[in-house]
Amino acid sequence: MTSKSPSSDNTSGGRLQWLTETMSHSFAPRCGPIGIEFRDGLVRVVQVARDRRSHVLASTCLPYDPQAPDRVAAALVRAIDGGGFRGRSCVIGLPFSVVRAEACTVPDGEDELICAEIARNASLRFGFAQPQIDFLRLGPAGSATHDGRVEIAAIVADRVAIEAYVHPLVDRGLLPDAAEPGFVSAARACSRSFRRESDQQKTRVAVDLHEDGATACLLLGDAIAYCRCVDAHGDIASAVRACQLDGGRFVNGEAASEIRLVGNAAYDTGLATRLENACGIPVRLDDQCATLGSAYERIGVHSIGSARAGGAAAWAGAIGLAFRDVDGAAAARSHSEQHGRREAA
Amino acid sequence: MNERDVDLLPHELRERVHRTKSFGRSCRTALALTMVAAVAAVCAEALRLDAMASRDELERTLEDAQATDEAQRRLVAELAALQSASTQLQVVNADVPASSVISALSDSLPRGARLERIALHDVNGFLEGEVLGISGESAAAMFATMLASTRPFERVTLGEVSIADGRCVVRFAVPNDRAFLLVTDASASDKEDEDGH
Repeated sequence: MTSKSPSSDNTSGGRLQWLTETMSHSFAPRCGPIGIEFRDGLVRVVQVARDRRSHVLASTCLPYDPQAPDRVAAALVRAIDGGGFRGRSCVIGLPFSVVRAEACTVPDGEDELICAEIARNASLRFGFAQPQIDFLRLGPAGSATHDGRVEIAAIVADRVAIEAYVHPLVDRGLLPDAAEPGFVSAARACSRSFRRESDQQKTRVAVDLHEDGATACLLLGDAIAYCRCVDAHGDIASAVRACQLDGGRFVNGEAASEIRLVGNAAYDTGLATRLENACGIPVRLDDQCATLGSAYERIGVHSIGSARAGGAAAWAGAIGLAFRDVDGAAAARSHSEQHGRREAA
Repeated sequence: MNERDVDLLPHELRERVHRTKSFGRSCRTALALTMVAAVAAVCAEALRLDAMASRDELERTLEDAQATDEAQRRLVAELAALQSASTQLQVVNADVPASSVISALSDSLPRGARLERIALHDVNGFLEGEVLGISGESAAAMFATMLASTRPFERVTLGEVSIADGRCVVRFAVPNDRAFLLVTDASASDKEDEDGH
């Protein structure tokens, strides 16, 4: 975190130090992508090591000005260059305002056919003129209704908004491998200790809290079984209950054992109490392994005060982005080809 | 997570990132190859300099050896010239040939004279002798004169004369070194050896 980039220190000593650290990074343990999350007017950046403990290698936090994305991107790249991050590969976490998710039933088929079905009325349904579409299959793999339809969570984003966030980063040399909504990375962070086979039937609820809305996800093991979004005026407890009610068939009726809150608002004790009272499920901010807490211990907040950057729950989305596996080259390639077909459709 | 992760990255952006990554990989590959070539060139240059240094050192060694060889050849030539131009003294050491001394004494003895005993002693590089009982004073004097004129007899003296029976003693000395120092021409000796073979 104390290293300097050649751009920030043009002296020969600084360049030598940068070169030495770059060379030493070549022999360092493997690391995951840089997780860059745009949330609540901030950009949180985290990178973790790809080892058993997944400890945080580097982190930073910057304010995000939507009126000056280029300036933010420049500051972000400077912070990454001088903050001990490794590589340029990154995963982008999109803010709540540009992504919507909704459970629906579509005719079963190849992924591109399902995307085409979602795209058919996405503009009207989700309000995005140029929708960027993906989806999650709900329920067990291969399950379909008797009429050949399958239940999915359609995830639709505003392509123009995504490009406004990502293009400045690519212009400055960052290489995004993926862009995903905040609730997906939050669910990944909340499922970190539920990846074993013996945990695949454990049901929980994760609530991803943003300033302008929230997404409640019913988790089965380390997968999203169901999800529901509410805006800033919606009732989060109702969303959680609806998640349990409507998604119960995807978790074999298993009751959720806990509610995990993610986001800066997770520390609102009133919200936690309301959720516990309304749903009858304990509310927690971390798992038994203290995945977020142990990661947060190593998170350094440089550009702004730690109070505004938030605690461990506020960083959960960024940490979940850093946990994303982007090494499956073949899978990524096939996924890329699927995306090409989807957007062509 | 689910069977596959959600990805909302637009296709154009993905292609752009893919192109950038491919270009980066190509650049890294080119850089790596360039570095390998540079390292190889540096190693080759180092080896060439080392070989040149070794060659220079070998050349210096060869020059030194040639100079030494030249001096040696000059020395050998000089020695050969000296050998061819010089004669060699050969010193032959041998015991005093008593028979020759006795023969010389006998030859010097005057006719009709007799002697009783000859005594020889090796003293300080000289063979000293006494001839006892030469009858007649005149014969003894003649004997001493004859012996003194015979080389290499030295210090020939006429000793005690017995008036009663007329016997005399003649003493003499023969230097061993002079008597048996033979000076020969080495080249003539070699020639004789060659003729003999």
